[in-house]
Amino acid sequence: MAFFFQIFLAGIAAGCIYALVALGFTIIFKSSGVINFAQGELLLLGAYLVSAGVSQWHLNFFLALFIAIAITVAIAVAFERFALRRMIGRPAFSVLMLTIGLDTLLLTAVIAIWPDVLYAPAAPYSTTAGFDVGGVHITINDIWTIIVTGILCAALYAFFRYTRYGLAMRAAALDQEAALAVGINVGLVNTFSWAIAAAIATIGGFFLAAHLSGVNPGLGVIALVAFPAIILGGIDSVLGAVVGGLIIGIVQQLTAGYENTALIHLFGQSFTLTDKLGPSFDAIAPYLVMLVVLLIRPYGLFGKRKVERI
Amino acid sequence: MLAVQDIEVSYHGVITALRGVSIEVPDGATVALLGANGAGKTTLLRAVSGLLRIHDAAIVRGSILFDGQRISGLDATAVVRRGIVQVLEGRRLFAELTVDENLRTGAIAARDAAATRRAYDRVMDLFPVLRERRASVAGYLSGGEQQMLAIGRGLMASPRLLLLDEPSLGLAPFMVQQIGRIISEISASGTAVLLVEQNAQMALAAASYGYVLETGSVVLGGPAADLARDGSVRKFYLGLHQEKQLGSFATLRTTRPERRWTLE
Repeated sequence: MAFFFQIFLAGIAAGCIYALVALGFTIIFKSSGVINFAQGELLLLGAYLVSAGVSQWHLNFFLALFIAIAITVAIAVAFERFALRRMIGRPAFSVLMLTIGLDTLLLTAVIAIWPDVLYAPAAPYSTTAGFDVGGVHITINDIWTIIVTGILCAALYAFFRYTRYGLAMRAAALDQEAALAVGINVGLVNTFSWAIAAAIATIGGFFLAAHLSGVNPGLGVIALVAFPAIILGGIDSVLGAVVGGLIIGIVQQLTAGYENTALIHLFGQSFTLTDKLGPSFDAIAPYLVMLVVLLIRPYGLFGKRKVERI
Repeated sequence: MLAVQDIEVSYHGVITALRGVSIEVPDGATVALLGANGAGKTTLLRAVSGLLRIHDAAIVRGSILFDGQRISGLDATAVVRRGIVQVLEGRRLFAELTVDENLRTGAIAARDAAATRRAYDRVMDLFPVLRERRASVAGYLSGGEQQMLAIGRGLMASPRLLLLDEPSLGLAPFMVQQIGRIISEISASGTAVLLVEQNAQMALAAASYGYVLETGSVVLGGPAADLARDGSVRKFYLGLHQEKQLGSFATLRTTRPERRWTLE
């Protein structure tokens, strides 16, 4: 049982990271209808900047984090202002290709600036330290991941619910023309959503690096596991992004924890998942969960059923 | 107050929707804009409120002045700050937000907290039913209540000119009358109204002046009472005459109606 709780907690922590990536996607999609494929590399850049700030430039961690957020936000805002803004009214496909372009650009830039493969993660605490509670080993990093994600979600909720900028963003997400007609600056709303997404991506990048004990160019791809999380939760739902992220994280960690050891008794045989399906079934598990959920609810757990005339 | 001067509007750079349209809305007046579907009424409102751009349309000639200052070319947010708000056709509420939240969106551009509180009280006085339903989700209101909320949301920025696009659309006759009364009240409190309506009877009763738009041009304009007496207006927009074959409005104005084929 202790083993189960240990993996479950690790699952929640991993789920929090996916939730952070998914939140960035959802906020941009809701306000402007753009699916941002560059979210993973914004996270990568954020992770590198934090690491480089601490280990190369010898900055205080929080100063490094602040600078990293400022730079990723500036890049995201500039991209929205000068590239996406010109694409208003163009087919969604062209816009999507632009975000893939940004993705490639960021990845190439990161590899060019930091050619060494692995950088140590920077954190104001030891990323490997932990303690035992009743046989369950808990790492400090997991605890911080969960706490910070919780605070961020609460802050975002309060922002959307109680501030006028939050209200403007919700209104613009529901009906752009009506928002324009009452005087909401929809362009500013879009810019703002990119800024929020980039800031969240940087924080997610820091935790993902701390989780994997290193910063490497593959982080952006790992972050893409957030895709099943988004689709599972419903692409237009902020709550769905969080719940979807948590589900995917827990499913993935449980599969990884049990696939080699748990015996399945079926048709008179005893075997583990790895015996039959090979190693790393946990990499596929999130997509399987997504498929099953989509079969039952095609618009995701919290997504909105969209009626479209063809 | 508002002067639209000889404007031409084209969509996608090819389709001309308005050609040489000039209208005026005097201070505090209610002006009706009549015309068939596709005549360009909504386009004219969009040209004033700065909403042409998201429809890939633009004013290619002429200008729009508000209090003598040029507003054509400004974006929608700037136009709202100048004191002009358009209430879109079909109400277009933020269906998932509550009544109060919808009203608050109307004040986002205004920035003046005291004016917003006054505007909120005015809306609640004008539409007492909204006060009872403050916390309800807007999508669950009845059609009439939704239209009241849409107008209320438009008033939250304390506009000096309100552009109403088909406020009676899809409402029961009783509600149409009530909306007509509300428009008169709004105008009596000093806010000018430019009213686009299919329901010409209501529009001409509420307005002091009216224009008839056909295929992108103003074909008739005058005091509302005169328009209501005009033979062609009666026939086409008030349905008081019925002809077997109706030609275009413009040609009918020059030719006298001949024989009547149906009983009145």
